[in-house]
Amino acid sequence: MNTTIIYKLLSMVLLALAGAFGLCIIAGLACGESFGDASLQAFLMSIGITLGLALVFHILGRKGVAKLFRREALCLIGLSWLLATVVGATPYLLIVEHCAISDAIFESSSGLTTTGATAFQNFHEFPHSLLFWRSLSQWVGGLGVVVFFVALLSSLGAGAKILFSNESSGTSADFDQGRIQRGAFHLMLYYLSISGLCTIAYKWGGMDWFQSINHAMTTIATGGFSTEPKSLEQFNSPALEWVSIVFMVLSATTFVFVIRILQQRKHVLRHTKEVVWFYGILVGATFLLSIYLVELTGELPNHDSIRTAAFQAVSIMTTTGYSSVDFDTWLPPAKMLLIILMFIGGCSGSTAGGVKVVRIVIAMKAAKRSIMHAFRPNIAIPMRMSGQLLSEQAIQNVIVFLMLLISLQIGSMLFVSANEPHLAFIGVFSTVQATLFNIGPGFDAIGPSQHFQHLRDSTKIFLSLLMILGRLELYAVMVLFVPSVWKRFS
Amino acid sequence: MKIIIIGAGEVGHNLCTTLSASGNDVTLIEQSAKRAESLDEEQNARIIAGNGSSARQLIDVDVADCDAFLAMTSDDRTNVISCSLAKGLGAKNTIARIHDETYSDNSVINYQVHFGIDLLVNPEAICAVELAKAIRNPGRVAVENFARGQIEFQQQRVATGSRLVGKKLKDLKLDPRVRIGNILRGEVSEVAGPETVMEQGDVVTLFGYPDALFALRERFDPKQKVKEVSVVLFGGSETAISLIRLLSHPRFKVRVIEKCPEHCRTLSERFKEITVIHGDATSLRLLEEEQIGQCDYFVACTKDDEENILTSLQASKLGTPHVQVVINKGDYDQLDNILKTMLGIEVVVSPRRATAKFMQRSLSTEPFSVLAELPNGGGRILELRINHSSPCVGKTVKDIQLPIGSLFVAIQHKFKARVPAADDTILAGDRVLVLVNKEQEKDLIHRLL
Repeated sequence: MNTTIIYKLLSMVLLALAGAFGLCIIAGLACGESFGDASLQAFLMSIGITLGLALVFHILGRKGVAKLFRREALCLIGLSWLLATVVGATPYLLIVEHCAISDAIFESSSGLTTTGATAFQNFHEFPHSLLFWRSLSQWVGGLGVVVFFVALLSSLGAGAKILFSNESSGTSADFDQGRIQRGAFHLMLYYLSISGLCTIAYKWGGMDWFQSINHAMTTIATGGFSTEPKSLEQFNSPALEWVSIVFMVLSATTFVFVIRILQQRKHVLRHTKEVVWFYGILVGATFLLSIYLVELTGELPNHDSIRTAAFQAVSIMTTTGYSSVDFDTWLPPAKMLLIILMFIGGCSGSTAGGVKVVRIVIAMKAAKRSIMHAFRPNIAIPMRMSGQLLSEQAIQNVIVFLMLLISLQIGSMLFVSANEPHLAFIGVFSTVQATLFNIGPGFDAIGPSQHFQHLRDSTKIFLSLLMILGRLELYAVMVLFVPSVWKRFS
Repeated sequence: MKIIIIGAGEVGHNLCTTLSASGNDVTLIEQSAKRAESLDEEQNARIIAGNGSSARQLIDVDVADCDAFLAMTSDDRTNVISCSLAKGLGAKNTIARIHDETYSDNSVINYQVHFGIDLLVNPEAICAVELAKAIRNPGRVAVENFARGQIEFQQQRVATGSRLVGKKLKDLKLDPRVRIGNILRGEVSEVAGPETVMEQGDVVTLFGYPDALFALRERFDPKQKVKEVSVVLFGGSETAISLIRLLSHPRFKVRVIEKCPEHCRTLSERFKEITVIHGDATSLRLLEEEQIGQCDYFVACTKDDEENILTSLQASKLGTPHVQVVINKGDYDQLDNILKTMLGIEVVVSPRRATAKFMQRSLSTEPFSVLAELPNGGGRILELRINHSSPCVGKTVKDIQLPIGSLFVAIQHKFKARVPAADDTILAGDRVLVLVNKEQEKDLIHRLL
């Protein structure tokens, strides 16, 4: 394997992280911290550590040839996320008093993978710079740690394509541009502009600037970290909730789809079907949740209950994980519905996690075809998605992915349950689901008003790995555990 | 620049690689989904599996705002249809790869105008020009081809015993299709005027049509008798056909070895003056039987690279002095050097590379480009694109004041090149080849553009 190129690119990931830490210092300074404070000292130290590591990697990889094959690309992505998680944990370790390493790692990976589960009960007491890092890590992780320099490094050539399609849930084929760099650049531009719009909308809805910037970053990344202890419930403002609903839906919609509409290219709407399904499921879920709320409270549906239902449906399905009420107190059918929404997730090619709507739709179609074949084996049924014919290989990939994900979920439940013998079934189930699908809150012991601090260290490290697995859609991390990847010749 | 390429064969594939590497926005449409999928991983371009001659597909890839549309499949008709559709849908520049000579024959109808094709390209013909260069001009100082082989440029030494010695240029009665450029006398290079007297040992720069130049050869050096040249071509491919055309002078004795009997028949019917042998040149017995060792040139130009390389090695072993090989696959590019230095193959030509070079030159938007550099500091040959705002538009050649030491080599008007005469007018859109000294380049560009 061409390890030098991996070192070289890893050093660039670290440089980018050092830059992000720098932004946190600026944010801290703007919010009244000074260089004498422990928090900014800690950030300076983190920058030092990161730059030192970057230098080491740079020296190791100085002879790297910019030719990326699949193996190198996959390993690079897996390794960069693991490395970024560890490096991203240093500010927590240095700033928070009596911070366990597992907590710091959990928080860091929960940030980067846009999960939004927290291991700190009192995170709202963090200094502003650290709160900013929590949100910023989600914003960076939303688009992807590697995508940022896919857009910048044209020397990577076609290797950038493999990097992009493995880190993001979309594929390079979605772009209208020939060069992947230009496609990624458009994507970043869109990401930046909706983040800006969201910030302004939050400010207009009544947050202060610090809150609106932080919430905008975690909304657009469908992350779910909040600066407030009770998430969006804290503000108790219908306007803010509507703003949040709109932007969560927007960031869970395939980015390329929206970019195309903005550019008024109507004839190539390749994702129409997925987006329509996504919106359809959201509307249906909101409707059902409103009914369950009527059942729970005994009141007729009013603006408040419909908004709450919509907010929770959107927040869970887009895998953001904000809460405007404690939905752990809802009726069982409502929770069941939320669990299913968690599983489905958002659209492919967005920042949302989960299985992705497109895979569910394809799997359903494949199932329907199998049923047809059971009684009429010779019928030829073409498989289409948004007017595009699907190859057998593509269908098989979807089904294998689903199977792999579900078996991973079951296996993880066994492990977590053995490790945490006193956790109730629903707790174990939603712990795994909330992390593997990058949602954040679950039910029972880890409900929206709870946190992950009380779990054991080994569980937290395991869950951190699950989050990265879920964010990278399994393969980029799983290959790291295949021995033959690391052999020079096999 | 936004470029759409149809067909991911060797030519299209290689064009995609070079064009996207130089920063263009390339979209490649390939018919086979399997091929498209495997290419997607290695190309930094958008690869689409689809039909390049379907209007819907072309609209889907936004053909209307592409700067160049290249139809590069191996099928002429597909290329013509695609280009015609693309032009109709608004593509700015359409280029079609065409093998069939039918489409270049404009006597009945102008195919290019009719189908809206801006440029016809024949990779095999470009490749054949490269191969023919060495066969037609053995032992020249420098030979360069311009305008797809229409204009050749070479340097000749005035040898002892030449009847040109001591004569003024105006008295030479040269063929009008040939010009004399610079004369290098000792260390000094100067532009020849009508009063210049030729001396023994002068190195004269000549340019003009290839056959006219060849006829002039004997006058420079009477001892250099025109010999018969025997050429053996292995494979009756498109390249071979183009090469046979280029070598149609009676002094070339061409023999073609071709495996397929059908092909042999058509070849022998098409070209009466050549000998066609049905057989496989990989067989040693056949090579010996045909006395390959005694011929001057062996050119392996089948579609199969491995056979080309091995048979040419065989020919070289049997004693053929000059061996040339066509390599189609881009993957073998890195072997070029080994083939030339270690295995004694003189010329290695690849249709892809030649096409890519040609294409880059024709797609270039630079106002001028350097085509060649002459040895011994003899200056450079520049190609200038004349546009509407150039000061020289509408002027005749004699009215344009070039800096001293520079001269017009050729004028290319709508893909037809000619040696400029004093009364030729330069029009907007023409391409002008100029020989110029390095110091005067800026001055020249200033005067012409």
